[in-house]
Amino acid sequence: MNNERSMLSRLYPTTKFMITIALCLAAFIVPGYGFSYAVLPICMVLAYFAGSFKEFSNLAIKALLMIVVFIFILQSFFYPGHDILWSWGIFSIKREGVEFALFLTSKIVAVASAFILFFRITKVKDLVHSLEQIGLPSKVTYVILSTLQLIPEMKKLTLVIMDAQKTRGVETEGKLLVRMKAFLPTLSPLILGSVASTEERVLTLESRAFSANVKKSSIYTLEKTKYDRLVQILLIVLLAILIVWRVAL
Amino acid sequence: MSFLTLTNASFAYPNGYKAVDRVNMSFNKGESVAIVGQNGAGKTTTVKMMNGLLKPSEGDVVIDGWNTRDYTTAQISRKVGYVFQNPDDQIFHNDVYSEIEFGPRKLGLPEEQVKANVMKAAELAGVVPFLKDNPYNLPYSMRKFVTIASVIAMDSSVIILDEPTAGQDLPAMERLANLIETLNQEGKTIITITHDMEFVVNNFHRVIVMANRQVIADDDKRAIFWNLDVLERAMLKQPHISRLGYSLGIGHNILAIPELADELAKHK
Repeated sequence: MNNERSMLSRLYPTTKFMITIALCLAAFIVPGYGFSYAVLPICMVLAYFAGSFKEFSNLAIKALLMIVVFIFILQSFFYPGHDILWSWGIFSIKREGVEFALFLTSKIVAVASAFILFFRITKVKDLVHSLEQIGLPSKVTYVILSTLQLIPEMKKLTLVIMDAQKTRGVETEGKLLVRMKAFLPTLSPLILGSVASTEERVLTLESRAFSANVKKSSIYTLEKTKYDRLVQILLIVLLAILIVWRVAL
Repeated sequence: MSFLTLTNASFAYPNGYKAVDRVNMSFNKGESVAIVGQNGAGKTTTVKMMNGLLKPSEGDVVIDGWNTRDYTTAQISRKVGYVFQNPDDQIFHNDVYSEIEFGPRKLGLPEEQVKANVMKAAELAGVVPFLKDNPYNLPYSMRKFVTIASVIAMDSSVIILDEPTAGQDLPAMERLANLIETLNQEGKTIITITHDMEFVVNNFHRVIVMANRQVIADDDKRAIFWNLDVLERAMLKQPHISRLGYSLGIGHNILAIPELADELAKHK
């Protein structure tokens, strides 16, 4: 509900995408890792204005924390280097490793949080619609749409299948081994089910003239407002300033 | 001592939505009970608590001395079988035989017993001609019978059918009726959710009415279908024959055609 009202989420999808790209580019233009890490809090602030602060923060932190921690451990121990900071037995942390880990994780954090933000504040429907407006063929946009919807749908289906298996005597709760055993038999119905539903989807699409060779109109419209213009110009100016500053440095 | 008891059982979904509010009901062995009510009244949530798929957020569900909190659904499946509303949620094998066989095999029954259970269940549900077919090639109504057979084959004491009548033709309804009666005679408890009042009149004695997340009546079918106040609160209608009797202003407990005929004969 809040989503509907906030100005940020009412921006045109391509404008939102420009914000994301600008954030990513900026992370690579600005030297050092400070700014790249700062992209995450910047995105959090933007998410707050779009009314999805909690969802975004939860998702971003959950997704990124593991990756960052793992990269740090692996890189600081195994990156080749000479400047040893700390050692324990045959393991040692090297300065080069830590520096590389900082560089790598900061870029990952920047790019990932910019993209997570994009998908949090953009409805898939809007994105696909704007792509169609740009002139992409509907077959391509359909592939994008169905791919983006695939994961949540599969997750839902997995839960349903697991429920069905529970009622038929498959133990799905408890130790890791038990749960792994329960997971394997869900795979075949999951994949078969997806294939079966593909057939139905094809029929549904055809019954709605999906492959008809005419220009289609849409009842759903998205409008570019003057804010889109403004934001786009602002982003380009900011990026230009950054590049000039970087070159002049 | 009843076999399955719900005591002040409530269920709230993680997002805080309360789907069932302090429900009390109990079932004896060999009973056949229909649960009726509007969509969203909490029927499916209630029966899902009966086999441990959902654990009550408050109150208790006890099956044959087992509190569902202490057991997993897999363990409870020996005592309570549940046929899903949508057969596609349940089917996950490539042929009907292995679909039906899966449950009893999981219970660790001996080979001959598994075979016997499968054949008996398949016969009751009328799916014997399709045992080698892929369930996804069968029509919806037949798939529903496949899932019913796969639950019967587990030989649990309680069998819950979630809307078995949806989309079924007359022979299928008769097969369902026969199946419920046979299982009842074997001492099994059948709990059925349905929107088909005629089906209730023909096959059940006890009816539980749910509305607005609670049980509002639990009585003999005759008492329920002539309690217009309860029916109105649950947004239900009397069975056709009862409505006819009511409109004609004759009798106060007519449920079926023979009763109506008798009553009309009196008024000749």
